[in-house]
Amino acid sequence: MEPGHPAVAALPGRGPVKAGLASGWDSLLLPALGASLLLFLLPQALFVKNSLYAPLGFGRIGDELTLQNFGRVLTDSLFLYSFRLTAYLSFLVAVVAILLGFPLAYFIARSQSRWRSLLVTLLVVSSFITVVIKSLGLIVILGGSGPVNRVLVGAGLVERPLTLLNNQFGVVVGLLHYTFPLMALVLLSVVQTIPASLEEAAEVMGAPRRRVFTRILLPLCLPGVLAGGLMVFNMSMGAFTSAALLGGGRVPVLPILIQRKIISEVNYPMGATMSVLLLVAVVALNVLAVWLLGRFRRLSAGMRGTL
Amino acid sequence: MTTRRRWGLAAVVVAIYAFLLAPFVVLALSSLSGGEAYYISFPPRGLSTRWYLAIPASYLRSFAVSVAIGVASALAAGLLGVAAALGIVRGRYRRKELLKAFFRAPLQIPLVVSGVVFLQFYYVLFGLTGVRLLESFTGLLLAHVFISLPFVVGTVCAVLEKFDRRLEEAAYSLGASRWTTFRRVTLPVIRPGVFAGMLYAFIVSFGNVPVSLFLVGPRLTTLPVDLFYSMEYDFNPSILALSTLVVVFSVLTILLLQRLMGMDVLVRAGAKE
Amino acid sequence: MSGVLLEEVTKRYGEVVGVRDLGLEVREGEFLTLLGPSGCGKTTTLRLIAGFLHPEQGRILVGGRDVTALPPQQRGIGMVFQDYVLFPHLTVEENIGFGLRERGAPRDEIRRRVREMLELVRLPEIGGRLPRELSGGQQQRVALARAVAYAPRLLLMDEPLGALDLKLREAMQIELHRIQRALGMTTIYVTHDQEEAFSLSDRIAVLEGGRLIQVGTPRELYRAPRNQFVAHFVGKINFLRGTVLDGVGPVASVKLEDGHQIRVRAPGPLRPGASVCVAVRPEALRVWAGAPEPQPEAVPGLNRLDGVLERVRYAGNFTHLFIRITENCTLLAEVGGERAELHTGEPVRAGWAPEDTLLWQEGDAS
Repeated sequence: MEPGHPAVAALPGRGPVKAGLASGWDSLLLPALGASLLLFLLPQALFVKNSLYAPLGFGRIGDELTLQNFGRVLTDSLFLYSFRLTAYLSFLVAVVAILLGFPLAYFIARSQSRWRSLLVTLLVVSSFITVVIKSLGLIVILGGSGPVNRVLVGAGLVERPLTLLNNQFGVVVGLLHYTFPLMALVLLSVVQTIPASLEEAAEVMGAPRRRVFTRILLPLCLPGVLAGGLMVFNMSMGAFTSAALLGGGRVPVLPILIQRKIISEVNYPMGATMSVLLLVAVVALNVLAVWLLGRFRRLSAGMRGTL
Repeated sequence: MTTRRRWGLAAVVVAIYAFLLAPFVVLALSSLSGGEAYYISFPPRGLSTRWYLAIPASYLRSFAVSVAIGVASALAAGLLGVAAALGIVRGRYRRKELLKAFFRAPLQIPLVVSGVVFLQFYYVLFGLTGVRLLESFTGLLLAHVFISLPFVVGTVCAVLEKFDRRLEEAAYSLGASRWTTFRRVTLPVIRPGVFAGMLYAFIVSFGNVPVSLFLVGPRLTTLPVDLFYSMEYDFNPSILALSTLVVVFSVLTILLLQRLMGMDVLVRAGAKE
Repeated sequence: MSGVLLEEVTKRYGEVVGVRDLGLEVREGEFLTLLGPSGCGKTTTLRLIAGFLHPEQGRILVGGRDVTALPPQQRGIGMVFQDYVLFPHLTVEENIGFGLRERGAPRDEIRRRVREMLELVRLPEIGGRLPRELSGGQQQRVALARAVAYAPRLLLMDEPLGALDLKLREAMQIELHRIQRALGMTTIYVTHDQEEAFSLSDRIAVLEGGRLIQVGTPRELYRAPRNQFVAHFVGKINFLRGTVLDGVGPVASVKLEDGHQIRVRAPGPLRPGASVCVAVRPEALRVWAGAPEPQPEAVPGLNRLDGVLERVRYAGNFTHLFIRITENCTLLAEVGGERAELHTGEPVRAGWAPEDTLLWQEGDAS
């Protein structure tokens, strides 16, 4: 934020147009910056601080700063299990979303305009509808007497209805339904940047489809695919609704644990401690992923010289 | 050979869309069930609109709250976000990437964490100043603006960076003032990005549970939270009817926006970042 | 033998016909250009030969082998794309070696061949760079090197010089010609630029609306265009309309719309009263100042039209003269050097020999 030039401002008449143009834009940032600092940094600071007080029960908290909450949480086997479970499920959802999303994005990117706009609109519609309603629909579908089990039992593939809800499978399906449309749209924007003629060039030089994929499409899409996967992972790590509804309380992911600590147990400091740890873990994983991606790129760039 | 592969891919695509759309279709069909019982029946037994007539008025109130919060967040995030993006891209700041990362940061915070953060913030604020933001429209709005602002800043920065500034120079050369140029040249060109960002701001706010959950109460609640608690604690089939209505509302909104703004806005909205 | 043969090939896009009943033979080692305006089917034809599109009807033979049903991978073709389409994540060397690697060539062989190709396109130093670090002209050369590195029997080029500026384009034309001759590779080239087609090609195939109109050497197309479209597309030309007065002999008499009578070399017997289109190339016109009677008579049988010099466009080695004959008829004449005695707004006379005139009967499209 450079200050304006008082000498110029004091002159009568119009100041230099160039300086006027740029400094005008500068000040536009201030309202949002102020709001974000107020809504972001200040609450975060308070919140981190809160995790440093001991809970005294019934919502009351101690008045001495201590690290004992972190000690207790980090030795709590339920928390540690929950942490591993959340990371595992989020990773699984990200991988499945990539594996399903990439062919879909490729199909849409290379299809003709009429189909394309319908398919994209459906993705947008799906991403527009609140996750509560999606979960409700999935509960109907996956329930013991729902259509999936009816078909499976009716076709004689299973003897008794499968348990598809209130377990990890249900949560994964729910998270997938929640994150997938956004993932597909992100991947679509990635594949769209790759001209079909690049594939044609590889084909005409004799590369079979499999090699076109591994030598051209995959390397060019990889950064975007990983960014999309990271987005899905982040969303899943913080996803509360689908885990709560489709897990039926039997899949204790971290967001559910945090919500219980705060709403049911009114234990703010412990809830805050868990939240801080979740936040730190997610941010750390993101930083790590970005760093690895950068390193990977540099590595592959470095290898070029020797080939 | 190539055609067989194409059909294979098409089959995968059809299966994915069946997965994506099935919940809504199933909801709509179940909601029309004429059965007596207080459980979900699919396929529906007989057709009836009785569950539509049984939707409690409290749901309609929380629906109104959700729409109001969604619209207000989209507008507020739109204003703040466009100004911020202009400042970042056009201003003389040197660490532009850092600024962008700062505004993107809320996306990386798990939503549940944001909910807890705001709960505690409002709690402390109440203790210090007596201003009560918990269970208030303002309190909800502030939190929703916080989680939806990154979408507007992101999309508008992206279009501004691609914006050809010679268009503005052309306008100046034709004698247009700065304000006229902004209103008649800059704004129309970046409008798709602005709309896309605001659309996502609305979506993020309208459907949110994990943040709202901590900030609402019996006196003020949003529809998703209402539905969530109903599903957890006192399920009844009128929820299906209500959900179907919300789906219809969402689809109609999308179609309207598509008519008003064109397809590419929606694509861009999804393709942000 | 490694020529190309298209037999009655038809390709539709839904209702739209891309190419229709296209029959064309490209001889071994020949440089053939597909020429025409955008939408004429030239790129469709190239993509059919490459195997990106498959025809509804007809056969495509490359080197005597029917490749109609083969995917592009199995056709053994090299292709240079519009905008080059170099793989952005691979180095120049990796780009050029791509086809050899797909063919399972040993590493040493690839390395040797890539170096050869870089020498061929005169860029021996840039093998380690990425495409985005190259200039447009360099990318163009790399694209060519990549397409010929695995010695395909057929080279396809789709407007490869379209993205270059004029100077570079001319230089690249010379390079392309040199390299094609050096390799002796059968080449099919697509362009909408008539001058480019003329400077590069052994033969040119002119397409319009998905149909092949005429195939011939540049000279044949220029001297004996099959119809008005070809005449108009290949070089500049003046068109005049009229009716046949006497069409029996080798030289016919035609009455122009404005009443003037001219004599025209007739391609065959003409029915008196038939409407015809006649044309004359600008460089076949001779121009005199004023209306000096004796000179045109000095060359017996010369057609002549009187008019007013409307505009003079000096272009250095030649001058374009625009001569207004009637309200809606202006002739373009191209004369050598500078013609100081001609002044805008003054009367001039244009004359040309009957044998320099082209004639087509109206309603006779082919």
